[in-house]
Order: sequence, then C-alpha cells, then structure tokens
Amino acid sequence: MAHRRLDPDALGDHVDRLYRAAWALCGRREDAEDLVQDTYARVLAKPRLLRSDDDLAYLLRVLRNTHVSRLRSAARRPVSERPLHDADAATDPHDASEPELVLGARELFDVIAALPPAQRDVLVAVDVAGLSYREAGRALRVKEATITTRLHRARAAVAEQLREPLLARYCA
Amino acid sequence: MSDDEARIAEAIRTAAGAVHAPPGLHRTLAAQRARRRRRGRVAGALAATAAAALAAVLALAHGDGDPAAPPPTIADAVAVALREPALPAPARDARAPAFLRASSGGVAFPDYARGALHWRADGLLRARRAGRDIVVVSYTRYGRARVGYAIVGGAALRPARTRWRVVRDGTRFAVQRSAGATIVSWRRGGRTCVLASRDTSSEALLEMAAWQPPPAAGGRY
Repeated sequence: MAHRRLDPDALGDHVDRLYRAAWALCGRREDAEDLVQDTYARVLAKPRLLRSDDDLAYLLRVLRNTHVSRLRSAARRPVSERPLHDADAATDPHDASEPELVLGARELFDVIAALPPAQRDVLVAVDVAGLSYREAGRALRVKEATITTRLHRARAAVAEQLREPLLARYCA
Repeated sequence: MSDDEARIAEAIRTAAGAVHAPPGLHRTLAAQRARRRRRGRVAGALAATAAAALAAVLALAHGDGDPAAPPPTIADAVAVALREPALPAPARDARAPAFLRASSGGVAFPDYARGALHWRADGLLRARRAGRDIVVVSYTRYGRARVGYAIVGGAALRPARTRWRVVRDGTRFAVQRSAGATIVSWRRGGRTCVLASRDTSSEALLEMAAWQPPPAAGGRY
C-alpha cells in the first residue's frame, strides 16, 4: 500500500474531536489539554508516513499511546500535589456555547474515564471521536467484531451509571 | 443495536459534540505547527548554505563573548526570553532526571513537570546579544500561561535596577515589571538567569526561580 506524508497543516481540523477524546480518556479537562498538546508535539516531532487516509484514526492512536505513557510515567513518579479541580470549568464560556451541555459532558466523561480501558477506548473512538467501527478497529488494532462487543458492553455500563435525567436531556 | 443502546449512543454523541477545545489550546497547537514549519524552512536553508551555517555554529559554540565588549543587559535577556521558541523542547536528562538536556555554562534548566509546579517545557531558543549566547527554555502551564527562562552565557551581568528584592534559601532574586512583563532575575553558578512572562504572577515566577531538585535527584541546584 502506498504511503503518504501526514500534512501538519491539516492537523488543526481535528483539535476539537481529539480534545473530547482526551477528556473522556483521562476524565479531567486540564489533563486533556496537556494530553492533546503532548500528542501534537509527538506527531510533529518528525515527518509521519501514513498507510491510510484517516488522519484522525492515526491521531487517536497516538493520543491513546501518549495517555498510556503518561500514566506509566506518573506511576513511577513520587506522589506530588495535584492541581485543584477547576470548579468553574462548566461555566467557562470558552468551552461551549451551551454550558448545560458541558456540565452533562463532564458527568459523562467522568463515567467513561472510569470504564475498563478496553471498553473505554472503543467508546471514545466511536461515540466520542466519531470514528466508524472499521476506523476504530484500525486505530485500536482490534477486529471490528471486537469493537462491536466492547462497544455494547461499554454503552451498557455507561447507561447503568448515568443518571436518568442526564439521558433524558439528550434523548427527549 | 437495541433501542436502549441506540439511546445511550445518541446521548454520548450529543454531549460530546457540545464540547470544543478551548481557544488557548487551538492557539498553542497552531504555534506548535508554525514552529514545525519554521524548522523545515530552517533545515532547507541550512542545507543550501552549509558552509556558512557551519561557520555560524562554530562561532556560536564560543558563548562567553569578548571580555572587552559591553555585555548585554537584563533587558536584552528579557526580550529574548519573551520570544516564541524556535526549536523543540529539550528532553529530560536521563542522567539527571530533575533537569532537561539543555544548559548554559554548566547551569541546567529544571524539569519542572516532574515536581509539584506543573510547568512543562515546550520549546527552546538560542540567541546571541552583545557577543554573548542566551539560551531560553520556554515553559507552559495547562497550555495557557507561558514563561521564558533565559540563561546568559559568560560572566554574570549587572543586577537589575529594582528595589523589589526577595531572598529565598540564601539566593537574592530581583523582581521587576516592565512593558507588561513580570521579570525575576538572579545569579546561579556564576551565570545570570532570567524568568520573564506576560501572564504569570511574580509569586509563581519566584517559586520557579527558587526551585530546588529533590535530594535524591542531585541535591541543591
């Protein structure tokens, strides 16, 4: 299969989706920003040759690998004081034009971040980042059938833990 | 897919779709990409003028400057510290994990990201002013605030003219505000060090300036 060079100028198109995915992976808005920055720094460090046309799937794989690396580094590091949780994040006008939706997103991302990693990664790839099952399979290097199974379990787990009013807000 | 599963999938997509990356993150990533493009252009220019570049690099390697020439000022170092970095951030030094693999005259730049300060190096800049090398590591915090940490090559510069002086752990720090920037300068290892930022408080800069590595990572800085 022919390779093509990843165009750094096109990476700006994926920032929002990667940010959502990062937030859902790590469960903290502040960590999500750092994670996306680290991901872009890693991708931009040298020219990248891709086998498929799907930049987002590739970026999502790098994002996930960067997240895992950061967790491993953090586990090796002496415990340090964590920054305070940003209590005003939900009403930050830069987050979205609809603060109520962001509040719901935070609750949702908390639940997703607490899922078992295999289920979480699939849910983030398909429902949060918007990849197809095939793209998600490529990004996570698992079969499509595995994506279907894990996604079903992940959605069921999220449904169990989310408050009913939150679901009703989006599914009325 | 059952109705229930479709319902939860829709809820997740709707909630996630309402979230957008903060403008600060967009700006930071755009700057990262711009730096990448500049690096590419610089690499091309270097290839075309290899001999001239080599001469320039050799000239830059000697950073102490002419002792008879007037030295740069703290203001020169501040101007360089506030510039956008042109090179990628230096990596962590595997042999001294509390520091980065960047230094000037034996004074290494701290890796603040390992401790409680949460400043992460995001770029490097090398400049020359009045015959002296100035090395700057740029640090960011949560993609919003930015601080430039400059170390000036050669003998220490004249201290900044300010009455605002703070002593921490026996080191004297000069604090100033100038042209919208907050500046902390001090001497370390015989070199002049400068921290400058347009969006960070003097207290936060002093915390960075007075940073010491943990005893297990090499003791006092």
